[in-house]
Amino acid sequence: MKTYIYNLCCVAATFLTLSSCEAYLEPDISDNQFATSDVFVSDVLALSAMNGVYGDFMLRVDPINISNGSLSVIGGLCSDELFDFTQTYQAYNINEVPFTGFGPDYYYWFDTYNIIYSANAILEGLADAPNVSEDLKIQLRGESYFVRAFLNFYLVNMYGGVPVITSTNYKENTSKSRASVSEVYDQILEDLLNAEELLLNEYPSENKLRPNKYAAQALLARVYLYQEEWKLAEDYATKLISGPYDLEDVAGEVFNIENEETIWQLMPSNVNSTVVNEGRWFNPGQTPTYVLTDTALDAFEAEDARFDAWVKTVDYENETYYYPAKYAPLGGSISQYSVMLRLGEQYLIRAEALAKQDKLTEALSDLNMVRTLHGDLEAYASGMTREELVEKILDERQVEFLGEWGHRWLDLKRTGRADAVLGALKPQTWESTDVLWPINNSEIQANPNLEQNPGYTN
Amino acid sequence: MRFSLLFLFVTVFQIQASSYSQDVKITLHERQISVLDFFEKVETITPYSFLYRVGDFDLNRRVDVSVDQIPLEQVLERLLSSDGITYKVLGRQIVFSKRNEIPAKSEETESEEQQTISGAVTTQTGEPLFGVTVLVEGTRRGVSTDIDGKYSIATESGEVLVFNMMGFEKVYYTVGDQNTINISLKEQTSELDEVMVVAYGETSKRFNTGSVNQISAKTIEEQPVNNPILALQGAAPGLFITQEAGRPGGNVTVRIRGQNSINSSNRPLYVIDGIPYSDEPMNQFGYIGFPTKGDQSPLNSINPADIESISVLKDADATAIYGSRGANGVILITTKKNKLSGKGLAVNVNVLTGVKEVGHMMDLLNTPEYLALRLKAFQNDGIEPNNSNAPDLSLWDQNLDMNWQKYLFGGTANFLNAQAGVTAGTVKNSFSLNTSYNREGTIYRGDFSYQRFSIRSRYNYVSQDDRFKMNLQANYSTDDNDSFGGNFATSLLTPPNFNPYNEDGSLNWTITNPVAPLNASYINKTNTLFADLNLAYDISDFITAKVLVGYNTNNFEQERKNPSSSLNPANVNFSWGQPNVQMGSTKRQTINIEPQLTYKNQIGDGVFSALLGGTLMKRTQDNQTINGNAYSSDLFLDNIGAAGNYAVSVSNTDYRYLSGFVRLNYNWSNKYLFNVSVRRDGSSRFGPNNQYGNFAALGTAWIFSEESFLKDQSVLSYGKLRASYGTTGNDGIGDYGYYQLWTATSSLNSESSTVLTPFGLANLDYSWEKVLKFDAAIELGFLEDNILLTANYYRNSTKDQLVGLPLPSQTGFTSVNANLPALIRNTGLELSLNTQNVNSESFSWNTAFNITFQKNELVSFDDLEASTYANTYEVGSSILSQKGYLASVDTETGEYSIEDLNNDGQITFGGDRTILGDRLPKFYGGLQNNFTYRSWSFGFLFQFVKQEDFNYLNTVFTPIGGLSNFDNSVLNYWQQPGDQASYPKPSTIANGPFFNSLSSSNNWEDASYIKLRNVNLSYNLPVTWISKVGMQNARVYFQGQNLLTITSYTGLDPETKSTFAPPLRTLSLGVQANF
Repeated sequence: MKTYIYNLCCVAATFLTLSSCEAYLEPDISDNQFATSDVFVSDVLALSAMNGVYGDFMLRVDPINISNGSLSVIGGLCSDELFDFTQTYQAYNINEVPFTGFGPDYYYWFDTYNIIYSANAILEGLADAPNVSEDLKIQLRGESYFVRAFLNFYLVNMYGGVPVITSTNYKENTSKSRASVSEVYDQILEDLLNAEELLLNEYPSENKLRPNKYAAQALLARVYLYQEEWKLAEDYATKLISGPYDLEDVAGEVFNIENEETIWQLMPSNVNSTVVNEGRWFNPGQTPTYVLTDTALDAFEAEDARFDAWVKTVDYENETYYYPAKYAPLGGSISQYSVMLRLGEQYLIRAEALAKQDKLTEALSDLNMVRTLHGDLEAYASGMTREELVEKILDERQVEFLGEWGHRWLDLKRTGRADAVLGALKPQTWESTDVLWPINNSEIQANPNLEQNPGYTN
Repeated sequence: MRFSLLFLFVTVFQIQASSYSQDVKITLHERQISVLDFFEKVETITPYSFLYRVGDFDLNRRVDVSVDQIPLEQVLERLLSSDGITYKVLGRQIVFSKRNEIPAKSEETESEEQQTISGAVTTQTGEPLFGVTVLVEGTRRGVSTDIDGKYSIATESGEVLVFNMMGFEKVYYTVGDQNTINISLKEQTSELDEVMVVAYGETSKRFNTGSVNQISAKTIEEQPVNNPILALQGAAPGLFITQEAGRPGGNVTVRIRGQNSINSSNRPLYVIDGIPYSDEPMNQFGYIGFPTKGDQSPLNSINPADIESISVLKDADATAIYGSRGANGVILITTKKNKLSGKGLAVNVNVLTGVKEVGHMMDLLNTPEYLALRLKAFQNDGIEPNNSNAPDLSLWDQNLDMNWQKYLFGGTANFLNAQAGVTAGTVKNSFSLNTSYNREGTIYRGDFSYQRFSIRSRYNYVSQDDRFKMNLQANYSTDDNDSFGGNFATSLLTPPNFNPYNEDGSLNWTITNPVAPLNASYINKTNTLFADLNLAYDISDFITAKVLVGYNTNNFEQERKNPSSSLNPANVNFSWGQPNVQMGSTKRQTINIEPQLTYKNQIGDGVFSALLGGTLMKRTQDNQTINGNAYSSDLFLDNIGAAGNYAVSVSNTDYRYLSGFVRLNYNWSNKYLFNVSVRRDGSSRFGPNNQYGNFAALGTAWIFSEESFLKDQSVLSYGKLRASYGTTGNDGIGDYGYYQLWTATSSLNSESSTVLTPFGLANLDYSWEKVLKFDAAIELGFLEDNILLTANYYRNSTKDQLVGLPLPSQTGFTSVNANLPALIRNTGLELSLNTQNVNSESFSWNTAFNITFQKNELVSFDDLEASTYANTYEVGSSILSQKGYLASVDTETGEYSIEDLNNDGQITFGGDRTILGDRLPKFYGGLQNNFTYRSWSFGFLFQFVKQEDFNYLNTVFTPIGGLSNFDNSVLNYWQQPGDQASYPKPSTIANGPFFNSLSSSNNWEDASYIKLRNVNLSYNLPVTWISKVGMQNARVYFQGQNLLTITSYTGLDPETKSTFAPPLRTLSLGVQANF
């Protein structure tokens, strides 16, 4: 009888425990994960979230994204700068960008919006973070606006008008359709002006790894140039040129870590790696990889110091191929970081903006600064017409930005020359509509409100 | 089956038995002890055992015993003489009988007329049968067999002995003048009364109210497969199984009654001996192809030879007791009990060895055909072939003709499968140990192997009074899959004139080298421990308390090493282009506690039983991956510390589960059956307000053949109508979806080494997905159940679809956990027909046929047009429908032309795709035939599937004419205007229409197949031979698997689809012996 009662008690106890164990169903959160409410509770954690954004800029699971320097390759392939010897991105080289599967066309979109989400999450998290110091809040908000603008700038240039996302609320964002190009630029400007106001002149970190006020102004100068707001572009470029930066006079050192020309740079992050991403892509192994086209080579004047510093050759099957050599190959100690913004561009922005405003002398002076210091070339003499000067500035950009951030691709598009230049180069495959990439089918599938770009609907 | 029947028997006819016989004296002091207790005491202190018939005397009579060193016989005389009982010592047994049944006069005539017959009763396969009653017909004289199947009875010549046991056919035997009569009993052929394992208990097919199919050990043992689930292919209606790729340990897809869910788990729940077991692969990274197919199935850790039966539970009645986890059906795996033999120690040995190979290869273009196609493509494009765009035309040998399929996976894999086991003990106290070892070579070029070792032990204890039962078992298995780190799914399409080696013997990297992956090693190891303790105590005659405690741990390790010889030197600037190592580790632990109370009693004209129980489960999983990159030399690859750099990522999850359940069952006069189950579940996978769900089901059945109006005919021997309705649920979605989480990772490109990045979107509102299941069936047996027919209709409706809702990337992520306002209905008709065509003494022939017709329909979806599924699904169509463009080859231009379905002048993803077909098989089934002739048995199984899918071209991202080989049907390409061709003119340019054509009607086709899954032949060696070497039985056998595939599918195999290696053809020979 005793065991009988004992057994009964056991069973009863077990059932009682079961029904009263509400707390049992609260699982432990994974050891390395935090709920949002646990992130914005201290300066250290809030800063970790911000640094996560820069980590994502460089290091994604995918090798190619909009912000890790791959545009230096893909942009070059899309334009007249590079030839894909590996045939990996042949589709981009012949401007038949696919819209199924998972290639750059997908990752440039997916990764970018993922980082924009982080920026938005930080902005939202900081709005309710009593334990984060005010100074840090201001700084991080400025950085978040800047990051969002930087990414939207490339999105709008690759795809045209894109959905403008400013919150983490997926229920609102999921069905957003594409904004117009000018609406996207409006958002970019709003964010940059906010960033300019919030950020300080001083860098918040060593080695210019996080953006300061000047970084925001540098991007503003570029955005106004693209918007053809010449005066504003000139004014903002001037802020940089008169700021604490100097043009390097040895082309081979422009990308070095300590260079005074650099406005913002990110540490390459392929895990402890000692090479920036472009260094991996451009430096060939046994076979050539992404090699320079004749057009790109012909753009150099004889004696241009940049040709010696920034172009190298590789021999394969009795032929010689040229490739961009701005970026050091793997090996040894790290000498370069990924340069996101630099002063050389600001001179050329101002030169172009001045020329467009018929301030030809000042424009020529800015152009010559880059020519003489980086290229060791003779300065152009005055006397060019406005059109001639603008032409020379664009030629200068072609050389100066060789294999760098797809500048050539974006320049051809913004100046409306893509059809003329690329149509002549790739007569079989070039179409006017190729200036914009397609939106991947998987995105359209997930959001029927997204309209495909023209030319990708057969 | 016999074992559970045995318990029934014991209650009717008490038997005790033990081993040795010799004269003993006993010492015992007990006051007012019952006769029964006295017997038990004596049995524990002496080697004797007692055999008597309940009712012959009063077992509860109290007696006083106080003896010291008195011979047992004297004690018995004194105690039992008053009952009119006499006894006889037969060997080690003391057999009691009423005095009047063995009259005193028999002693006078014994020498002449009465004789003692002894012998053994066995099954047809020679296993001893314990507890068979041996009765002299027309008298009440009887004995029953002991644990060795032996009996001894006094009879006279001319009397008839009746051997009877439930579950077996009666045997009548007329006694002659022999002293020994050995009998083998034949199992009753009606499947209706075989024990059927169901949720939390057992029943029989006759009295079951739900839809359950049980597959026996015999069916499993006939098939030379590593993964026990593969033995079920074609074996049961409503169960559809496909193998992902023909590699050892590979993943399998199991669907019971179609696809209930858009994208939460459609996996059934696996329960092994009462403990849930997760079949989710534990891979940290896959490695074959895209989508990756290198996952390892945890089911592979189960040794098929350890399985007694597998029950497939399908309808609400059978599954609702599993509540939220029963939505996709339940697969109950019951492992073998301790099989006692006539001797103290039983030994069994089974060795199978054979070969495996790819049974079917594609007809690919040979070099001349290929090169001609390429030249034509360049000609069509107006492009000049050069070293970069056409190395196959400009650089490579124009005469080399490689058959890449044969080269890469044309090998023969030898395999060995050895099992050995011992069992010892008695019914009350037994122990067994079984081990198995498997080794399988590889079909791939190289020295790879798969090995598995498993050991299982089981201890079984029943108290003397039968009230307390304990079962403790532990199963450990370890497998080691030593393979290569690559993907041959696409490399078989390597151009045929590509030489993988340069002249100097180094690898040729002009294109992706198909041989290089062979230099990369990939190893995965699984260690699985499965232990459970099952305690049951009969609190009273009607109430039993049970508790089941299970512990399961699975450790899975992956390691891929890429030495420089496997890497393209062009990528040397990338850290992954230098020697690197990738390691993954997964540790999964599950603790499961299930207390239960059962009640069973006669109420009115029927039997009422009730079950009250609970489940407490906690499953944790720790994941880790380490990527070690930039090794300076291959020599250091074994040492992760020597990596130039490495990245570690860890994560872990915690999943908890809490439930209570009740089941009530009433069997009224074996005619009307009612079964109600209710369960309340709580799952940690849902937010705080949505954790609990209630599930219930009602099942009823009417055995109309028991009605008196059907008693007077002999055609219909069995008839039952049954129906069930109820709800089950599904929480098969990832953990923590209601938290907005950030993950901490190390980042070396910023000032702080630890950074936080958002991990996913949070949704607080999602909860259980619910499946409403309706099931109705008629079961008929004709001609003494020689023909059994079951027709089963089901309708499962799933609502509140729990999905990782696909989101556009613009939201930051590509999915969020959510419930969809969609209703999906799976309907189907399952027919099975089992016939005993011939059943004579020496020859028998059985046929089992099953077929399932199924249909899936998206019944409703609120606001589908505005949802992320707008371009995927259509109301009224199956959720496995595939949408695509309608593509054809323009007869004038020879290029793909895509039909502009909505006539808007452009081809859009949203507007111009239509449903090409349904991936859900329209019907499938199996046909099994078994023949036995004397000592021979022979069987074969065909499986058939009617389905549609994309052919292999769907995954070839190179246009016909590009740098890739194709099957030779592409030679029927468009040549000149007016041609009606299914392939366009060759081109090297992958343009928009080409990409659109990949998932178009052009690549959609019939993927039906008939496979000869299994052929087996076995021969039982004559007892006269084997008994000389001490064997009880022995057989030699042949088994073949996946012998033949009949299909019109374009690709390697319609089961694995595309170009993945098919399930391997297996030929094997084996020997099995029991000692």
